[in-house]
Amino acid sequence: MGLRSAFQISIIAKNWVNERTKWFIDLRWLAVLGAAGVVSIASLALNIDLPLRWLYGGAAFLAGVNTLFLVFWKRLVFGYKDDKTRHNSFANIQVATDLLMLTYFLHFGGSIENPFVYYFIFHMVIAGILLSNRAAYAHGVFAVLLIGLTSFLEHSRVIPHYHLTGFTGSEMIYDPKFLAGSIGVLASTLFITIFMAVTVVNKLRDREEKLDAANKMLAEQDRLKSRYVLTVSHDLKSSVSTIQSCLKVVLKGLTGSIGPKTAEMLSRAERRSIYMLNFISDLLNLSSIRADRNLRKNQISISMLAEHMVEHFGQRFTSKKIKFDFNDHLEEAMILANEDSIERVFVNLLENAVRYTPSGGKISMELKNTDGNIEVSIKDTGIGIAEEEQKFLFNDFYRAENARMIEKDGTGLGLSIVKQILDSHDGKIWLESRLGQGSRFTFTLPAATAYPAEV
Amino acid sequence: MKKKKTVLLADDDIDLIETMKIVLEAEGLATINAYDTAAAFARLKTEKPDLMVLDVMFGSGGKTNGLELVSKIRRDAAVSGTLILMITSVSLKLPVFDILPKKDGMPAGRGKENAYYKPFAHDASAYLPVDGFINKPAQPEELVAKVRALLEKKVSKWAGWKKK
Repeated sequence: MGLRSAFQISIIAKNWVNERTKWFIDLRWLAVLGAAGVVSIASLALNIDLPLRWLYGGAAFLAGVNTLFLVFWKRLVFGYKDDKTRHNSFANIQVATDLLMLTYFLHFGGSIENPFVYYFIFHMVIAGILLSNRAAYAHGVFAVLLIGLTSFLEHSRVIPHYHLTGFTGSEMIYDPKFLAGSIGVLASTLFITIFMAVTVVNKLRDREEKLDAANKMLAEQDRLKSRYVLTVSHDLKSSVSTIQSCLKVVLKGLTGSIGPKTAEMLSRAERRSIYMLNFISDLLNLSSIRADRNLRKNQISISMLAEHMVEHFGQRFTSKKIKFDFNDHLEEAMILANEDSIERVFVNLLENAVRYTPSGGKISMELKNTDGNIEVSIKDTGIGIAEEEQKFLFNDFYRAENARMIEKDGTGLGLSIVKQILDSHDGKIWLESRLGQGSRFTFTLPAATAYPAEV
Repeated sequence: MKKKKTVLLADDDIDLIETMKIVLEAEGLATINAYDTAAAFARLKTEKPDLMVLDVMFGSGGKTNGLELVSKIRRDAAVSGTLILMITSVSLKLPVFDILPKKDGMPAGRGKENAYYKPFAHDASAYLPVDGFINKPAQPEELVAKVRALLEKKVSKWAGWKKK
């Protein structure tokens, strides 16, 4: 379902823990390469004076740390699969490490004078999206403290300042106004960034939680519904089938002999009880197909299913003296479908064909591929369906005028079931028919790619 | 005189039991009844019938307690060889009967031997440790035929199926 897959790819989902910690690690390799690359370009191409030893050393150190993170991540994923707390702390440690490393690079590259100082924004966005709100703001404070303190200590000459000779003119860090202004603007930028990220993310998280709850509720309703169908099925059918069994015992004379009139009346009652059983089965079939959102589907061969059906109906054709033709032109016969349902489609259509084709008639079934679909058509030389009735034929309980005259006991649900099943398999069905000449029902199902030979 | 074979009829449907009783007794078989699974188990242990006709669902609410009784019988050394004919009004292909032995996520023991290829076919009747099935409404001829065929055997092939 669209809804469910939208969940799975969502990067803000709260349970998206081990992927996100891995994502940090992947991005960090890029950061290592990026840092080394920028340092090289700045010193070689732009002739900026840089303490290369410290900067390349920092990049190497970060690569080492990231390797450790990767090892730890693997242990975390394979060792404590569901430990979200560990994953969360791990993510927090990683963000903190990144802030420290960015400050380190900045310190050796001119500190607050270096325009890369705005890279802190990325870290704030990431923290805002992936960590809890409180953790995001805490990392904001940490970032401002780190860069602020470093710059202040450099400003106060407690630690050395590495001036970007060849990039900035004067050593602006010694100007208190510049220092205060830069740190102030940077801090406000970072906090506004976090605020925006957190606001958007909170809304999304909220919606996601609601969707999650709705999904759980739907699954529960599905379960209840199938329980319900089962219970109703059991209770209704049990009673009616017991009525039928009781009548049968009497009719068979097991309780003593009965007169012909009594036997006739009991037979009528028995026939009605059988009709009632079929009716209940059809109704339950229809409602369970409609209710079931997760129909079990497998790769099945429609050719083999059709052959099986031909065998199944063989006796019926012969005894009614109906000529039967079966033509299978399929090259690709696999479909992804619920087998019992598709079997039901064949049974209902063939059943109708046999029922409404007079003795001596002909029924033919043809299977073929039509661009990406499998097309099955069942043609008979039966009573046909009047033009004006055709559009109602797939409606629940609808039975054509002439069909009712031939068979009193139809439920009018057979074709509804067929239509419903095909709908749930992205299939189509249509008919061509002329009154008194015959009908042809054609349905299509999307072909599936072939299944591996044996499982 | 040869002793009559005895069939235990276990179903919560008293009316159905009465009809089955008439059918089987007309065939010269003796019958005993049980209207719930506890009584069925008790009579099974004390009276040692030759065959048991067992319902799947006793009572309402979709409880599949007949299946649980099967499992209980097969685990009990004294009665694990009981021949069981399962009688049911609902399809055992319904997803609620999720009792399959699973291997790598798919039911084990299925494959080419089927009429057509169905690797994930889900039909609980293929895995239940019972000796036969009959659908409700049970027709007299079918009931008699299945009971007679099973009575040819002495012991269920599932005897000692699960040692626990």
